[in-house]
Amino acid sequence: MAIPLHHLLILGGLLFCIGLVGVLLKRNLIVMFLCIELMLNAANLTFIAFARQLSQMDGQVIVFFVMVLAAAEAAVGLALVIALYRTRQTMDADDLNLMKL
Amino acid sequence: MSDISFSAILPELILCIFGILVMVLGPFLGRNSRSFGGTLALLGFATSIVGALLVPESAGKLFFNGMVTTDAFSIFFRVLFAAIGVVMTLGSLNYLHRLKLPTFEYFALLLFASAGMNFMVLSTDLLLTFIGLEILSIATYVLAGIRRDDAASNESAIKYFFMGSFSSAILLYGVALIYGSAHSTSYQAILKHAAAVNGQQQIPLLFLIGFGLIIVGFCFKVAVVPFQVWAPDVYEGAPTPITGFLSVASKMAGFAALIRILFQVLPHDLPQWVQLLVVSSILTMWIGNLSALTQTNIKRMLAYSSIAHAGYILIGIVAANQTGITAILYYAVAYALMNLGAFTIITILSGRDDRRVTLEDYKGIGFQYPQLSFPLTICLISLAGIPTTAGFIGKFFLFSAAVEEKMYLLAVLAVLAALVSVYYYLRVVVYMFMFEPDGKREVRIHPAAGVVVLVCCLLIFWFGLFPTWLLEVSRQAVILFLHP
Repeated sequence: MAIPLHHLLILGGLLFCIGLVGVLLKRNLIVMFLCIELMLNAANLTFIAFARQLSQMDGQVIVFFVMVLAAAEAAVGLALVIALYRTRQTMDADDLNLMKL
Repeated sequence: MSDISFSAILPELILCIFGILVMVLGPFLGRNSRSFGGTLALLGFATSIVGALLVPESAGKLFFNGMVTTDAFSIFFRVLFAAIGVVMTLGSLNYLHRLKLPTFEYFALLLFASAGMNFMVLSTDLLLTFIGLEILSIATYVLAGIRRDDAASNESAIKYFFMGSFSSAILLYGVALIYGSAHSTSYQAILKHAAAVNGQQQIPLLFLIGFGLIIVGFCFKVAVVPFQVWAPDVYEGAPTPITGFLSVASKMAGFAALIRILFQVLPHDLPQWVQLLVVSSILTMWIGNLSALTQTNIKRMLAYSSIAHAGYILIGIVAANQTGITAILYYAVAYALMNLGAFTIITILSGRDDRRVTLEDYKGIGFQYPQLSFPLTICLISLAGIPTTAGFIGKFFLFSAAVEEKMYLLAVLAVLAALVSVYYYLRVVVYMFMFEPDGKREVRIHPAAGVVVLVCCLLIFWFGLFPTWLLEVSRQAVILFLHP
């Protein structure tokens, strides 16, 4: 039995909100990063749900592009976190206060 | 497919090829040929300007399955971005040498970032716009953190990365909702859909939320209130030339893509977003200028100033008339000249470890280094919008666009905000000329950076005194957005 479109959209919306709230509330850089990935994947899920509903390939192809971009972003992001850890020995977003007034 | 035309994306191909060349040749040439990367990058940007001018301009025709346009608007920005690349390359050669930074990586990333910006302005498909944005963003995350052993640079890169990818995710979700609503991501299809739904009683929620999220995503990128909090920290910690790049190039690319989306895709009688952007514009100008008043770090001060300038540019967007959009393009050039000029001088003065960027460090350098302090004064009075400079003409046309649309309150508040800003720009000048120097300091002016500063200052006056040519070029570039 096919899953109706709005179930998928609601799931996508929920994942997006969880990711959004997570980025804003969590303080560990890695967890924040995972929340951003969650937001991207919520968008991916939404693309796929619409693509299946419309019987189009466009949405599915877009997801591949997004996955590549997410991988590139992850490579850069984790490298930056490591560079930060080397100089500051911290993973806590609240410790990033070098430039506050 | 017949619409695959590589001449339509010639400048981008040139930038990417040179970027790859710099990266591949770098390891073979090793550390003893530092200037090679810069030379190659310079060649790449210069060729890209030529390539952009050679691109056949065709407003109506789209390439690559409706994804790429070669209209005058895209060519204007492609030339501008490549020119910014030339300025960046010349201005940062000596800086990289002084701080012993990896030149090949730096210039390769600069070339790729420029290619990303170009894709943002030439795209007529939300997917390509998003990819261009990500190419630009990922390259600039690394550039902001290129001083790997410096805590401030790391912190700036991390903050930029999290804010940037957070906003990209918001934007992407908006694109997904638009795709669901319009059944396509191409601007033409979305415009058709928007025109169809605009006649209905109620505009579909999916479409509204999608556009809201896309606009929010771009507002993060161009740092307008209430999404500006990341900018001062990122700009302060990033290496000084990169701060200039972020505040000029990536901001202009964001605005260019936003203009295309707002004027080519959104139906023109959909007034909800205008009200929000008016409020945002006023808050951006005032918060930016008021926060800049108390800054003692000149990079942080210019960060707030660049937030304020984003507010001025928003006036042109909300006015949405010919004067307004033309003025945005004129202001993009003027702002690039004065901000890049200022940042090139700040880079020269930033010292051995890029730390001498507080107002205290500028005490008394006025008569010690007149060849730097006078150009910096010119850039700052242009940023403040004092007559005879390009900054004045740009502001004048932006504000008069608001008056034309009878947005008097907006215009008055903008003029007042610009008046407030004069204080903190001139404070730097006062520090330079009216205090005694703290002692000798060694400043070496690389000829390349000197040329950049000279050209920026001359052009600030040239476009300030004879603005007709640039205004005409800008007007030609925005004709496609104006509907009778």
